[in-house]
Amino acid sequence: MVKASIIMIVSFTLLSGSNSCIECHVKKKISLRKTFMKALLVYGGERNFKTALFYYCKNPAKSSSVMEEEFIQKYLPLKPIELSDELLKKLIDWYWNSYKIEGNLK
Amino acid sequence: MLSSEKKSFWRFLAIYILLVSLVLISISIIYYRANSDRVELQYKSMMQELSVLQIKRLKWLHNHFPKYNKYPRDERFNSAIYDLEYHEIFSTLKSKKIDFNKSFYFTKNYAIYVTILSDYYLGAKYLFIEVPKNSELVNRIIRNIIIYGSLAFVALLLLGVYLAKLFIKPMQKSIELLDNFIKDTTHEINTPISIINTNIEMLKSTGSCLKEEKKIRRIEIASRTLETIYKDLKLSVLSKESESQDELCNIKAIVQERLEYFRLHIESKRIKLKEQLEDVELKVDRILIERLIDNLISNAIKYNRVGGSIVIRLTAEYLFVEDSGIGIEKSNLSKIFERYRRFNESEGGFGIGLSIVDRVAKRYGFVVEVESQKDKGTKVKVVW
Repeated sequence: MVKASIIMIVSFTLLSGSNSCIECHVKKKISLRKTFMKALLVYGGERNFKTALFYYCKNPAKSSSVMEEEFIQKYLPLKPIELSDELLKKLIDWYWNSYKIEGNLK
Repeated sequence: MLSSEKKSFWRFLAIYILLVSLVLISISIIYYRANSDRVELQYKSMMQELSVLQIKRLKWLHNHFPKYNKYPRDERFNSAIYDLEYHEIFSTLKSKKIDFNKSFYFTKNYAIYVTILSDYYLGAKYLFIEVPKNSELVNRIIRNIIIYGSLAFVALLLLGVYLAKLFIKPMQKSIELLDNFIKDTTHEINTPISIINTNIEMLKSTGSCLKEEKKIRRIEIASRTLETIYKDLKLSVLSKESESQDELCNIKAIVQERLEYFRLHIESKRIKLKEQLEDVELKVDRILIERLIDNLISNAIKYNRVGGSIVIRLTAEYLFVEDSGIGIEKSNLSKIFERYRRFNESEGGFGIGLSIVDRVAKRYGFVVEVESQKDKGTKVKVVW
């Protein structure tokens, strides 16, 4: 998963020409799984999850974050992500497909 | 029990059974529903506990995923999780029918309990718990309904029979009173009739009252009418079936004798009589066959019009009597053999004539066929 994340960061960075959210996650050692499970707990279904995450990435705010207060203070810059909508959507799709529960339970 | 009493008895019983059945069915439905609700409540309570347990397991798995990725299973139940967009995340359910709009429902073999999760563990909004349906509970309810329902029905049926008997008791009492009255009267009128007949015969033989012949004829007609009534009443009320004595009887001779007996009646009404009589012999009780023939002839005279006609045909197969009288309404034809049943009050009588005909016919297995047209006449055929 880490390998896949790195490949994704490189690809998205090259494509966007700027820093991506995933890059930051890796830099700050914030588990993508942990944030995924937190968001999943609140947003549930795929469409809802993706829509909510897209909105949050564009308009980050304490009130709309699913993470705890301490986490936000420590890690989150609360700055909007500077990626095109299309690219961000692709990134979120990748995020969902990589960490989703459906098909990974036995 | 007379046929009218039987009819009333069975009618009362039929209505009673219908009402009792309706009440029992209603009670059974209420009982079934109440118990079904109780069973449903038991299921709900038990499945709610299982649901809480499964949610705890989902929570644990959510927090430990993907290190642990085995969906929590329990031998007591099957379960499934669906996200808020109704996509299946994981399922061990056996039922194919999934209903998101109900919190609890039964499929053919399972009971299903649906919980809506407030925290979407593993992305699930809907948790389905499925347990096999215990048909024994429902069977027990149905068994109870059948057993206790049948017992109640039998008890109420017995009560119904008792009530039906109480219901027809006043009717039976009236019939009994009438029977007793007729019995007492019958005993009393025999002697006066005999005296009148003897004296008429004496007057006729001495020829002492030739000037009063017309009046004597009228007295004789009246006396014979009384005598016929007496014989009918005696047979109907006083005699018993076992008392009859069968012997070989010449029916032609009896018909001729009875026609002779009614000759004065026929003449007084100026009725044209057409006889076609063959020699017929039957092994019957003479008194009974006389009553049968008498009643047919007597009715043909009594309900005929003045100047009418009577056809009497006797063959080896049947006795046929046709009159041109007032006839009987079609709706009343089925009731003409009932005792004390009369459809015309203009003529005297107790309404027992045709019931005697029916009784004698049944005694010997004869078939009585009646055809009648109102105001045109009646045809009666007794097939031997």
